[in-house]
Amino acid sequence: MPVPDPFLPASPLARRFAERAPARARRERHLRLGLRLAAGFLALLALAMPLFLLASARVTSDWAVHVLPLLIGSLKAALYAIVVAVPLGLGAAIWCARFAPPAWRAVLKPLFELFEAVPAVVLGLIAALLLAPWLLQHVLSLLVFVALLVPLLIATGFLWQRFAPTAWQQRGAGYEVALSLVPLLGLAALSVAVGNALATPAWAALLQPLTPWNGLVVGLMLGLAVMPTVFSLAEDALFAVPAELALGAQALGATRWQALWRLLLPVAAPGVVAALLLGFSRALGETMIVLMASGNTPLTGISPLTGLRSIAANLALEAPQAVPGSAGYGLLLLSALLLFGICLLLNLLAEQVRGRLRRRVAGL
Amino acid sequence: MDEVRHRRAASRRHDPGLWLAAGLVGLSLLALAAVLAVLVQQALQAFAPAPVAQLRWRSDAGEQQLLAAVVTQDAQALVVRGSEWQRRGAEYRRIARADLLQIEWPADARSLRLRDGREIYRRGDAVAQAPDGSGVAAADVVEDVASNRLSRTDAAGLLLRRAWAFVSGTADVGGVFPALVGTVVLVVLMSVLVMPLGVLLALWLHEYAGSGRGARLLRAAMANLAGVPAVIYGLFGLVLFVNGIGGGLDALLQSPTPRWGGGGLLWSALTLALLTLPVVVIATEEGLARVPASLRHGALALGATRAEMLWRVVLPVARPALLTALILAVARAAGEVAPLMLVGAVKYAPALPLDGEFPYLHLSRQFMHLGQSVYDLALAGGDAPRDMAQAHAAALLLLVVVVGLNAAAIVVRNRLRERARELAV
Repeated sequence: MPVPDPFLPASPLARRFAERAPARARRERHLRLGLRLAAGFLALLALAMPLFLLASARVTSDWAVHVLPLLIGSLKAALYAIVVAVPLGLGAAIWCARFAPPAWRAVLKPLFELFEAVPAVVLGLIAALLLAPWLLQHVLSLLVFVALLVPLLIATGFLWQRFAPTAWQQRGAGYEVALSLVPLLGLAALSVAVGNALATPAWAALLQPLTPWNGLVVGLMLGLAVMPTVFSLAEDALFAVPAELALGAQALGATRWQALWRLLLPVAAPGVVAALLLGFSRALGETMIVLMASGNTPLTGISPLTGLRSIAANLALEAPQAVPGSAGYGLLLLSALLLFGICLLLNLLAEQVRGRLRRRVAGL
Repeated sequence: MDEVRHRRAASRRHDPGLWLAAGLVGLSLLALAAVLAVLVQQALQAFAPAPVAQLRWRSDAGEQQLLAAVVTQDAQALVVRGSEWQRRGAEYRRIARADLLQIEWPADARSLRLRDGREIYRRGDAVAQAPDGSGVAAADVVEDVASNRLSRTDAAGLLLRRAWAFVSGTADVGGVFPALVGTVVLVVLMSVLVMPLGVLLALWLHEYAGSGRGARLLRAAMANLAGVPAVIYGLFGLVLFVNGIGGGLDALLQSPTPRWGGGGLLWSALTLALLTLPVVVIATEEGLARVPASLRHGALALGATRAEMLWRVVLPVARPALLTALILAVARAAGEVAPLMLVGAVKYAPALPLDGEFPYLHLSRQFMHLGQSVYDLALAGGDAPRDMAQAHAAALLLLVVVVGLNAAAIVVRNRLRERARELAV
C-alpha cells in the first residue's frame, strides 16, 4: 500500500489538476518550440533571399552593357512615376489630413487604400491598350492641361474667396473637392480642344512620341499606381502633427495655408520624405505596368517620349526561358540583386527618416 | 480695433492654396473614376451584340459587297467582320469611308454564334452557306439572334448570357473558367500554407520575443521583406523551388520529363505564401495588440499556462484580426501576376489543377491564372478586337474579386476596432 504523499492535495478536483500539470507544462514547451522554429524560419528566409541571388549571380566582363541600360530604364520609369505621384499624393494628403471635414476623411482614406489594392495588371492593360493610343494623338492636350492646372486651381480659389457671396462660402466650406471638379472638367475639355487646334504647327511634331508605348505612358499610369502609397504615408505623417501647432499659428494671424506650409509641412517633413522614398522603391519594383506599357526597348535617353526597359520587366520576360547556369541567367540574377539592393536601401533609409519624425512629434 | 478685425478677416479669406490641395484630391478621384469607367465600358463591349450591315464598296478588285458585323467606325473608316467560315478572327476588313458606296442595316439580318466562337451572318430564313458550299450543323449553333432588331431587354439578356458563358466557358471557346479555377485553387493553397506560419510568427513576435535584439532584428527583416518587389520573390521561387528543389526531386525520382522541375501549382503557392507572409504577420500582430491586457492577466491569474491563455483567450478574441489578415493576404495574392509568370502560370494549360482523378489536386501541374490571362489576351495576335475586349472583361472580373476582398477586410477591421474599444472600456 503506497504511502499518501503529504503534498498531494486530497480533493478529486485538485488531484486531477495536479495530475494534468506535467501535460500542460509539456504543451507549453511545445508551443514555445514551435514559435521558435517559426521565428528561425523567418530569419532563414530573410537571409536566404539575398544569399541565393548572390550565389547564382555572375559578373561577366560585359555585364555593364547588359545591365546598365536596364538599371537606367528602371530609374527612369520610377522617376517619371514619382513626378506624377508626389504632387497628386501629397496634395491629397494635405487636404485629407488638415482641411477635410472628418466625414470626408473617413471616406477618402479607405477609398485610396482600396485604390492601392487594384491589381497592377489591370492598370497596365488600360495603359497599354487605351491610354497609349490616346496619348499618341493628344500629347499637346496633356501639356496644356498640366501647365494650366496649378494656376487655374489657385485662381479659382482666389476668385471664390474674393467674390463669392458669404452664404455660398459658408455652405461650400468642406465641399471644395466637389466644387473643384467643375473647373477641372472645364480645363480638361479646353485642353483637348486647344491640343487639337495646336496639332498642325511644325514644332508640334517635336512632341510627337515615336512609339505608342513610351516613358510618358508608363509615368502616368505607374504614378497613378504609386500615388496611394505616397498619399497614405504622407497623410499619416501630417495627421500625427498636433493640431495645437496650427491653431497657434492661426491665432497669431497666419492663414490656414500659411500655417500648413510654414509650420506643419516642415515639422512633418521626415514623414513626407519617407513617403517619397517608399513610393520610389515601389515604382522601381513594379513589373506589370512597365512590362505592358513601356515597349521594353532598352533605350537610355532621358526623353520620356521614347521607350524603356526596366529590370523588373526584363526579369518577367527573360527568366522563364533562361537556362540555369548560363551566362544570361547569371546576369539576370545580377540585375535582380541590384534591384533588391536598391529597394532594401530605400526602405532602410525611409525607416530611419520615419524614426526621426516619430521622435520629433513625440517631443512636441 | 475694427480695422484689425477687417484685415484679419481679409487675410483669412485669401487662402487659395487650400483650393490647390482640394483640386488635387479631385483630380486623383477623377483619374480613379476614369480608369474604372473605361474598364467597365470596354468590358461591356466584349459582350454587346454588334449590328450587322449590308455593305457595298469599291476596291482594287472592283465593286464588292458583304453582309458583315460592324465592329468599330469612325470618321475615316470602319472595321467590319464577315462570316467566319474558316477560323475565328480571320475575316476582319477595314473599309475607308471614301470607298464606301452603300451601307444599310437590314431588319432581317441574323448572326449565328458557333460553339467554337466563330460568327456567321445571314438574312431572313436563307440557309447560311459557306463559299465552298458547306453549311452549318444545327448542333453547333449556340446563339441565333436578330442583331438589328434587339429590344433593350433582349440585348440586356444577351449581354448577361454572354457574360455568363465567358465566366463559365473553357479556354478553347473563349472563356476564363480555367483561369478562375486556377486563381481560386492557388489562393486557397497559398492561404493554407501561409496562415499557420504567419500566426505563429506574430504570436512569437508579440507574446514571447519582447524587445530583445533578436526580436528587433526579426521585426526589421519583416519590414524589409514587405518592401521587396514581387518579381524578386518570383525569381527566388524560380531559383530555389523550381530549379533547386524541383530539379533535385526530378533527379531523385529519375523522371524522364521534368515534372517538379518545371513551374507548377505548389511552387507558385509557396512563392505567394512567402510574398504574403509579411502582410499576415503585420495584420495579426496589430490584432493581438488590440486584445486588452486585462483578459490576459485574468486568464493567467486563474492559473492558465501561457499556451492555454493564448489558445483559449487571446486567439479567440483576435479572431476577426486573423480573418482580416487572411483576407488581405488573399487580396494581395489574387492580384499579383509578375511572380507567377516565373513559377508556373501559363497561357494555356490543357487540364485543370483540380479534377476528379486521383490525387484530385495536381500539385505539379501548370495552371492558368486570371491576371496572366489579362496579360496574354491583351497581347494576343489572332483576333485582336475580340481578345482586347475580353482582356478588359477578365480584368474587370479580377478587379471585382480583389477590390471586393479588400473592402471586406476594411469593413472587418473597422468593426474589430470598434469592438476593441468596447472591450477596453
